[in-house]
Amino acid sequence: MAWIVAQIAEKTLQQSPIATGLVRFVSEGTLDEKAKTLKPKTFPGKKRKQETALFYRPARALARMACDLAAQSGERVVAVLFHDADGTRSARRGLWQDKWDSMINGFNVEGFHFGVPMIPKPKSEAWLLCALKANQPYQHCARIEDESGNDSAANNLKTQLKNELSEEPTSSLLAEKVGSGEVDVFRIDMPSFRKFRERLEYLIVSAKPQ
Amino acid sequence: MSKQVMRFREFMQQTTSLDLLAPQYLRQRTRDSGGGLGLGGERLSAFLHELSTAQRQKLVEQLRQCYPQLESLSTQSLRSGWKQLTVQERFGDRRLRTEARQVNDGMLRLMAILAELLTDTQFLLFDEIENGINPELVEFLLDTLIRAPQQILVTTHSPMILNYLEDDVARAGVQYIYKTPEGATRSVPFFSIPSLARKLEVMGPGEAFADTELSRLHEEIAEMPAADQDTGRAVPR
Repeated sequence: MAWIVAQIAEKTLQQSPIATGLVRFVSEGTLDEKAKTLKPKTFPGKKRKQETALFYRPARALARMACDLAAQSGERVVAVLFHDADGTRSARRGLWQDKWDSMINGFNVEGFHFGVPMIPKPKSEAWLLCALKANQPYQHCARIEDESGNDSAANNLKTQLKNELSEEPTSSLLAEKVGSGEVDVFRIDMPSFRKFRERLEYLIVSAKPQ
Repeated sequence: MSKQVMRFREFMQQTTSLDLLAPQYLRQRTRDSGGGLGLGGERLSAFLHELSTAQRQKLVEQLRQCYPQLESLSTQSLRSGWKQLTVQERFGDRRLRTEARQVNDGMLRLMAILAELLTDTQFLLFDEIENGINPELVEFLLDTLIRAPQQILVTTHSPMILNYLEDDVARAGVQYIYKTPEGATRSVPFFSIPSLARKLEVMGPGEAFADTELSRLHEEIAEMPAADQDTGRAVPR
């Protein structure tokens, strides 16, 4: 997923953010730890729907870290927060749009306006399958978003990806396929990807020094 | 039914809950307590009358953590044999004596719960513990119940109650009671459900509970390994 971000950023910036040392990575564990201690604790209500706290709280945590980094470096910071929409651990409840909105709200509530939700629907394998499927790659990908994100389901997305690759879809293999350009991120066309890419491109341009 | 199950059933039948703890019962004058608070706590004033000086002092000290203006609790025997509970509070230079029937609901309810902890009963049941308790008192109440020597069973629908549990206490102690689509009642440790375990890494137990669409939770529970579910053979009821 980081390589997807890097390739979009490189095309927009006309330089590689990885090569120029402009990328920082925050682990899920670090973000969780910070998210857990955030105050005030909030409950769903009129302002936030159920099944969104796993998106809202990490967004707040990442926003705070991004604000700190911006203050230290004197530079604008664009932060990308990744979370599968309906992965196995998120139990596949709640609407995608509510999850997107809650990440944006989490960024905003911390006064941070350069946050990008990266929420593959139902999970990241869907975006990669769009590019790697042998039958009509990059076409008719929207329907993949309606598949189950449950790894225990028959013919789940992980299994489909394994079948397309004829080997285990390990992180390093997938990173290599994206990094090398074999997965052309600019041809992936499905609603959850489009929304992520549009916002990332817009904010990278907005964040550029004038 | 096995002897063990029968003994358990007898035990639970004797157990009463303070779920009928309506303020009007708390405020009544009562004749005597028979050692417990009575179904509706209507024996509270008689019960307090029979406490030792040390026990009553302990109760007042505990209550004063939530109500710093509280000075003392007193009970009088009336000519009829009824016991009357009076609360003495200090506001600046003023001392106010208030009969139980005019005391605020929260103080009476907390008084009844704390008084119950002074009894010899080893197992206590409090249904919907959050009722009548203001938010700022919840932490004190939960900490007191967790530290109590008795085994305590609390039922709640309140995210705020859950949020005052430490994670390890929540993992070990919170059971989720639900109905399957077939109508059978089941229970499962709440934070053994995968999505709830995940949420607990990022938020408090109460927030995790409130964030969850409970009406669909049974779907996820059904996907858990059979050994992790409660797969009792009880018929739907």
